[in-house]
Amino acid sequence: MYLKNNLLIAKQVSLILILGFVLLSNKLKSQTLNSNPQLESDTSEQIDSVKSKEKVPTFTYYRIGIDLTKIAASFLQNNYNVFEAQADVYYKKDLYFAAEFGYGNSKVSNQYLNYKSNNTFIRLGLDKTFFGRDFKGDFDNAFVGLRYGLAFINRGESTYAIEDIIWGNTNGIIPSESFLAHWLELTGGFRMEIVKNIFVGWNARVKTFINPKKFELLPPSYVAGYGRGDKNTAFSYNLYLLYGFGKR
Amino acid sequence: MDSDLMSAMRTLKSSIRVVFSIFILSILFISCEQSNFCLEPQTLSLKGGFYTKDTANKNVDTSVSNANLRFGSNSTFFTNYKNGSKFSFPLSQTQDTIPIIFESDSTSSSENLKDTFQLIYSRELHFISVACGYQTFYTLKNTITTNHVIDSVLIAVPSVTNETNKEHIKIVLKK
Repeated sequence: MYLKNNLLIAKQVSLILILGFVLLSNKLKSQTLNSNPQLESDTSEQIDSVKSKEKVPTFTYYRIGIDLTKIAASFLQNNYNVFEAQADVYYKKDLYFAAEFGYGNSKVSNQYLNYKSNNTFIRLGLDKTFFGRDFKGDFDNAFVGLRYGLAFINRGESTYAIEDIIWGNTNGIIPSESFLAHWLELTGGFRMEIVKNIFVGWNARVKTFINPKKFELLPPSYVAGYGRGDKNTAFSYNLYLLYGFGKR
Repeated sequence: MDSDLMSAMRTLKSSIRVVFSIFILSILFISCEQSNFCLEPQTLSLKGGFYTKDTANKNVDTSVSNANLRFGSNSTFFTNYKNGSKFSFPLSQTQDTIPIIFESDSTSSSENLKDTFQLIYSRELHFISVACGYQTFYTLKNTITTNHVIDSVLIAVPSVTNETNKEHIKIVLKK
């Protein structure tokens, strides 16, 4: 079972790497094209834009969007629902500020455990991009980033059952609890403008709880913004559709 | 103008590729997020060994030739040990004190070849997984035994958890 999961994770990671490589090669190709003397006018234009960019005030271009995979997952999975949104703003040079937020709920219903939970979350952090601009107002890029995540969790009352044919079965109740979870994450991905001001992109994330002790008694099966509550280290991904506005 | 067109084409092409790949990626991810099968047992066993004292009063491994250990509610369950020096049985998840009956010769019903010892412990719920729920961890506190064939029951490792290869108690037999 674990082996199977590991294999799938490996498959997914390699796919992410392939996707990243596609973007990278396109970006690199276009950047070598720009340094070609045949396109001198293009190069000088880029230098102009770099110069003028320094004078441009910060926080000029904003993007806001939703995570499409979470909407799909909410329909396909019957044990949890989740909604995730993201907003980011171009700060300066290669830095973006990003905020992600959302809501979700989950339920566990099997012969050994029954309980529900819900939470809201916010993640705050920075993204650092890899590539320069191919032209003025080019926001296509790949990035790595750091996030701090915070979730406000309500876990409902839980009933449990333990099967024991030798000494007798047991069952009991774990009282409900509200608590904070916080975690750190490392993320990477890309954004690409498909139509003017409409972006797509993905994020892959690896995260770890800062307060794993809080989850020892009974973790929610799914924590929106984090992933599986019973894992101290989690992997997740997002596929965003974003709308951009502001001055380029 | 030409380069603008070129870069637009480039963007479009790679966008299509990327969007398509993302689709496949998402399907993969969604289809394998949670496992809902319980593969771990909810009951844990206490492990132990049979010993006798040597001339230097040291406990040495001893095999029992044909002995029974009775456990469970109303002592209805038993394990027979032939030429074995190690044993295991589960502890109760509902009581803090349990009686275990040791029959040194399973062919005899003589009371003089039997002993009953009590194991006294505390219990703690331990979360296994969403699929399996809970199991019980124990901390052994004390033992009380009758002394027909058993000299003493010693606690070697008090905490009974999901760690394997621990010997929790030693049953020291009279010679």
